[in-house]
Amino acid sequence: MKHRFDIVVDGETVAARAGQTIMDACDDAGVYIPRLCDVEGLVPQGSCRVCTVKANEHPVAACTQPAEARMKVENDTLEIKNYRRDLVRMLFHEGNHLCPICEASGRCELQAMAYRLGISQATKYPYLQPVRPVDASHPDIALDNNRCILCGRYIRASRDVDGKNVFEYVGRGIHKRIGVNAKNLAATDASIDDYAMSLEVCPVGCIIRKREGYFAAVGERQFDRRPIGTDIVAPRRRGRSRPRGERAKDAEDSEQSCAKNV
Amino acid sequence: MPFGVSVAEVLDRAGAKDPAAVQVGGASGEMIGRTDFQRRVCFEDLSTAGAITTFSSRRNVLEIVAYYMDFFIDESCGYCTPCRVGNVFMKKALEKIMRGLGEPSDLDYLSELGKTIIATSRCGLGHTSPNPILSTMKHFPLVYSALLKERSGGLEAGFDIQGALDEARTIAKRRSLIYDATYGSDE
Repeated sequence: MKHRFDIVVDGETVAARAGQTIMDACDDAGVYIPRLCDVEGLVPQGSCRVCTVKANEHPVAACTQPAEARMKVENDTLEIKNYRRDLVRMLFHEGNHLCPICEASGRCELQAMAYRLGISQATKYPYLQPVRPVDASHPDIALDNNRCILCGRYIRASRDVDGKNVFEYVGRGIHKRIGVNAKNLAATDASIDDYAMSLEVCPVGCIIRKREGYFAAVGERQFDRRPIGTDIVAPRRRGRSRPRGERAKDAEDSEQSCAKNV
Repeated sequence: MPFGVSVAEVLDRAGAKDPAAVQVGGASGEMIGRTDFQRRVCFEDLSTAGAITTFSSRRNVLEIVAYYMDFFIDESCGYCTPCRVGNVFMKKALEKIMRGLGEPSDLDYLSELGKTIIATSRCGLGHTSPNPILSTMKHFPLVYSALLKERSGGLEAGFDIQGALDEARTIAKRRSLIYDATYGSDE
């Protein structure tokens, strides 16, 4: 049996096993740590930094940092929340994220994360407004790099699950983007049935499955009714041990965010 | 020179004439002004692996800082969000101040953004890249505040209406009735 120990997350004891990351342990315990580049089933890479927590006073990425015995983790504090808001805003301003015209709206993890973190106003960051070519060569898939947040999820999915290596990062710094392993997407062996092209892999609207857009009506979309992360928060923890007033406020907030999800 | 030597001694030995600013620790180090030249080069105070750059009073501190920020934008590998995007935003805010469009709240913006980049970046580059701006804001506050203005007149602070209209003027091949005071007066 694997070595077991406890870590403390925001004052609550969470059981962990040797070899687990902070995020693994928290997911098992039903404590949600916001994340964008990490997703169940793929190797974590710690690039979006949205899962930043403080472990023993030091900021680390929860998806890659191994849990250690007696580790004290800060997750839901104002300081950490502000870092996460800044990071999500940076991603919004780096690309062209026009929610009202995007077919990923309502099931977009970037949009849902912004609502969860309470971002509802314009920020002081400048918009970089990139003009990157859209690759629509493939009969079933289009690739819009302007909506990419460089999470690398479909790079890993194509490499580790499909075994095809269709995608890779190209360039560096602010010019970094996703490239395909050929002249264009049609020239690769990518297929609409690849795991990399499934709806759960791309968190935004960068991979577009042709002829499937807007399949869910407003109100029926993935994050219309419940904020992102609800599936991880353990049922026994939802609303438990929190003052009644605060719970009511949460419900109000999520209702507002549903109404605003355009 | 041994650790513990003061910056003033280093400047003296190097024969620096008219030093006004000293960058200790390379591009990601700390830039200090004349009042701090008695500080010492050591791990407890100004730490460096040996890189010390001096600038005379004829140099513009903000131009030096902008050059360092360009270096970090160029060096960022782009792997993590804060360093890839944040450094570009730091540089853009600095440019805005240098163009005379800055406002007092831009200083808070820079220190908050810098704090996020330092705390959340994946490697040492992002942990130190906001330092040129943050340390000059601390040691050369007057250089910044001399360029900052409070705005009035209902326009968003820092918004340059003439600059924003320029492109439209070129496309429409005419001037603005409202914002060009002399428009129509010579007809």
